[in-house]
Amino acid sequence: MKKRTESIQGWLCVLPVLAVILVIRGYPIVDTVVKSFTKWDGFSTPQFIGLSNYLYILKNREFQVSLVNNLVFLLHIPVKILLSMIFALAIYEAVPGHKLYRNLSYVPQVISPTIIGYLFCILFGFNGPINEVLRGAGLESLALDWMGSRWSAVAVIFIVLTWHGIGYLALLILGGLASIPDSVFEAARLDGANYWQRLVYVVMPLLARTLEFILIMNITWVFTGLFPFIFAMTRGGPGYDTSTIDYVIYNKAFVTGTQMGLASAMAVILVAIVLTVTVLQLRASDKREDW
Amino acid sequence: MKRTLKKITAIGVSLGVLISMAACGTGSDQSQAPEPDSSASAVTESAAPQESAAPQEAVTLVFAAMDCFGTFERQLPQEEWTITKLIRRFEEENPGVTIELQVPADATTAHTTFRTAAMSGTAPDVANLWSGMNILAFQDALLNLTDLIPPEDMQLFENANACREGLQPDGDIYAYPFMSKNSGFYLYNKAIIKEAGLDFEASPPRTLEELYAACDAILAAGYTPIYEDAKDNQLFFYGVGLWWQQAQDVDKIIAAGLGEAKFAEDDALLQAFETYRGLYEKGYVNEDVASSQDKYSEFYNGKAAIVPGGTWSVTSGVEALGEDFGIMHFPDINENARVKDTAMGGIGETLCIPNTTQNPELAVKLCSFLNNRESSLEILKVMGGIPLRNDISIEDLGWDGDPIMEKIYTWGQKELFPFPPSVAGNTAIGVFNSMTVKVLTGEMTPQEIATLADEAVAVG
Repeated sequence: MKKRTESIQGWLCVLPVLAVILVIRGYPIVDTVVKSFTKWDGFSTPQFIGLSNYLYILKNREFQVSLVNNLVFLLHIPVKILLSMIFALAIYEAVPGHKLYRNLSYVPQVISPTIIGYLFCILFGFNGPINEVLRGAGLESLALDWMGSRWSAVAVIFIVLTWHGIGYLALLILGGLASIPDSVFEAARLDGANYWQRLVYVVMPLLARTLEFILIMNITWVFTGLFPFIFAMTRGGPGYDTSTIDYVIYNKAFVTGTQMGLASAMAVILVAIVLTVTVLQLRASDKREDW
Repeated sequence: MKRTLKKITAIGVSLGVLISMAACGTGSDQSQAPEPDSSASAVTESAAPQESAAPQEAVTLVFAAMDCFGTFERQLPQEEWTITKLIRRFEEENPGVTIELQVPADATTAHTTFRTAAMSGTAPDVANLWSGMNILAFQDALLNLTDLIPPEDMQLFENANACREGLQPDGDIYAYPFMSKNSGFYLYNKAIIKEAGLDFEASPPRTLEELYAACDAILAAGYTPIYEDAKDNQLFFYGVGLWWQQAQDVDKIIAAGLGEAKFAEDDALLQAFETYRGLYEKGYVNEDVASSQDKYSEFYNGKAAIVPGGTWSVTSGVEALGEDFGIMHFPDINENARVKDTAMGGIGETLCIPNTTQNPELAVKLCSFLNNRESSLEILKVMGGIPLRNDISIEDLGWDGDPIMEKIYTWGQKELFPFPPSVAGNTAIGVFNSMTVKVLTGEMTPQEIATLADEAVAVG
């Protein structure tokens, strides 16, 4: 009886918030799923067309290219984590100039992605500083039209994403490092562990939860948060070579302006992808009992 | 004791949230409910401001102005812009009315923002947008103006298919034309052309062969003949668009945009794309066209001989190149062109009123005011372009004797082809706009891009 009363009280406590969440989050999600089965321009009455939008997406090269791009951009995460780790350790170990590194590494995080995008477009422009240096060094053949073809443009975006995120991740890793008690290091030292052994056998396992958090947040971000970079740097071009799924959704919904039903179907697929990846990650992490 | 505390907390939290939600609901009702009444009285009273001495209730109209300020005005404080001065004059003539001016970042953003706001019922009362299918694609969100337009403004709607339903001359009216008729053409640097041994003033290239010969001469002189940015795609819009319509009826293009015909079966479009691709293949277009974003700076700095542009580029072109600035039409696609020596053009910009506005009459009144003779003269002097009104002459604008403006004015009297987005529809043009650079650089065939557009229109 007591347990039931407590349960009711608990539900009563969360009910208002739950109601608000259902209204402001649940309704749009359900509405998007419903609209994904329609041909709809955003204003007129939606026409039910069954699975046509989904079948079109499966065959549509623009979506396939965007999905591949998203998967390629996922690869920047380990690179970013590795570099962030180096920065964090340098700051943690208080190497000479560590305060400068700490401040400099965080600077990209406080600059708007749009500005970063434009800066890198100038940097990697056909007549930009990078190509001028290459030409000056006699490496004319390497002075590419970086943003003018698919893989070179993807590579530049890859560099930008990595550069942009290092400071923030370094800060998170630094937080994780700071939470490791000194006594653990002391014990490792007494056991005769050298620096690298302490790093691999003490620091890394104790940072695992931090890294797991970083991984989940970044994977979700790669699928849903690249829009400002793509918009500022390439607008998905040339063609749709550097588009990501979130950018394609925006394009279909608001730029071409008449494909709201199709954009809804893409959004549903994107949510499904993100949810699947997140659930798989969480399951994998739950199996790691040693964490 | 603990249980009682929990109960009180639970009930307190629930009540608190419910009360705050109810308060929010009431607030929004209160803020919205009186508006129709106040606007109605304001419209009635503002229609005859001199006759009524009684103070009017305050009404605020939101006006989203996309592109009605000159390049050099942008460097001035907003209060000094011509459009702001006109708005202040409208407010003086309509006591109690305040116009809130919104300035979107760029034209694409203006359309995106308007569409999004219209979907949520929060669109500005008047929005400066493009014309044709750019706006008619969301016609359901726009106010039908057919019965609201005062008779003195009807001259604006002669040949204004781009503001009418179905782009038909007898279609219902969904937008006011605004500012001027625009036209797309080539801008060229006379000094470079002269250095290449050519004289476009006396004999501009009127056939493709003549254009190719001119480009070869420019290349030989050490300059990039045609500079283009894939970001703008003006070579597509004003080049391909012109060649396409010189060989194809507009009705057939509209039909393909609506999915009733196929772009992939349109020989005129495929031929226009082939011609366009040939320009890059022959080395006449800048190598970095796919990523370039600085065609105008290259042109103004004397590195490019020709750039696609239009009426809107003239002020800054003259400012940058002075006497060396020249303009010419694109060459005709062939000798069978439906209309020769012409351009893409017509009503480029409009004023749209969403059907959710609380002040329809007042919004129409603002559109009418911004299009009256005095306002038009002031805007044209800043923005350039071809007058929409038939009671404005080249002398009224003080352009007589100016060779560039005289040329534009004369061209404006000819038949102009509508801009491609105005006829082919947003979905197809969305595909063309993003993929056309691939055709230009030879990574995609005309047939492939046309098929992509057909597929996109089919799924619509």
